[in-house]
Amino acid sequence: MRSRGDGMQIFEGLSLACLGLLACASTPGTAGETKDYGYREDGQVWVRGPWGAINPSKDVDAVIDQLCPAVMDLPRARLRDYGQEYCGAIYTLGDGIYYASHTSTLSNARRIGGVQRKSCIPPRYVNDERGRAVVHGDYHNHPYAANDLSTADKQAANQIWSIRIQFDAGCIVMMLVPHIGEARPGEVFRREGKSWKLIGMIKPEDKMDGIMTPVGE
Amino acid sequence: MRHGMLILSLCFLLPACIHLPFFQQSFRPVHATPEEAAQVEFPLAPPTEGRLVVRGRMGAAIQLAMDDFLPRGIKPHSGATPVEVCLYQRESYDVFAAPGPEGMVFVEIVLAPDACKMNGPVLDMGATYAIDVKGWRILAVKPG
Repeated sequence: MRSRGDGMQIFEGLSLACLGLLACASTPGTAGETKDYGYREDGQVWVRGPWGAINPSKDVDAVIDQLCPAVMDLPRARLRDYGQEYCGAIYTLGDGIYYASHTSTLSNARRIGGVQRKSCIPPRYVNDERGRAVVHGDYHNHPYAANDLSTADKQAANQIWSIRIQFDAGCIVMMLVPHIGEARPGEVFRREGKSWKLIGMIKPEDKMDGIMTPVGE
Repeated sequence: MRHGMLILSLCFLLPACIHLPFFQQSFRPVHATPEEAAQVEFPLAPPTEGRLVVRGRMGAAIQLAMDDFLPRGIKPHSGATPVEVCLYQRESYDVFAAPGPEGMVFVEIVLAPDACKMNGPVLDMGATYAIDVKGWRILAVKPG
């Protein structure tokens, strides 16, 4: 005789299996372009802005603080192995106000060895019909809890903009200031309340490999 | 008729037997021909430039993690793009390894930035493993 707990386990297992099948079935659709993002002729990713879910602000931190809750409302944003990684941009129109773009799920590869790898391509262009967008930074989520900036997130070759924002399924928000092309070290911050706490440095000689040296608590 | 039945039974049974440990062969890499091998000149000592010493536990931990990340003999899935084919190659990944707490080694596998031609930076294609180097088990995997 099966217990109620067994029944729940079977239900959860079936639910996850269905989600997995849905994820597989939806891959061609989500991998393709939409009205909010796509590939340019040169192969680079563009995203549309602004994203209505994020209130613009003169304070870039006010924009950053809205990103994680909004992204977590997107499909599968915190579903771990069945989850989805989303990439977007933070930009201005030269008016001193920061905006967030829509997110993109475009990725170079999703399935390697039967494993769905969670990855997305940071956008290089923002299309905003109101004017020319100047991108300040990119942002993306990891669909896992307790999952901070990866080494790839920190490697010099993967940096495009002045800052990179990353958050996990628990909305722990991290910021990388890579200082690429400068002699000073890169900096890694964690959002704590309304301030940024410096938690690590990336020495100039470690920028290529993205190796962070933790800063003492 | 009886022989026919026996052969038919064997045809059904043999594929199943391949999965038995007795029939399984351990992995052996491809060797060059004796002619090619004869042309290799081994130095008196390993060249100092680029020389790397990987200690036993560390080397075995890296191998264990990689065997999980990209199992040996794995083939690209049907319809894989050239980039995806590249992502199936072990040599496309860099490895960072460091001793952890007692009996543990951390192995991080990261896509090498210049390994596969992409149309932009690709984030989070790797994984970090915590390897139990006493029991030779994977303790935990952190994606990303």
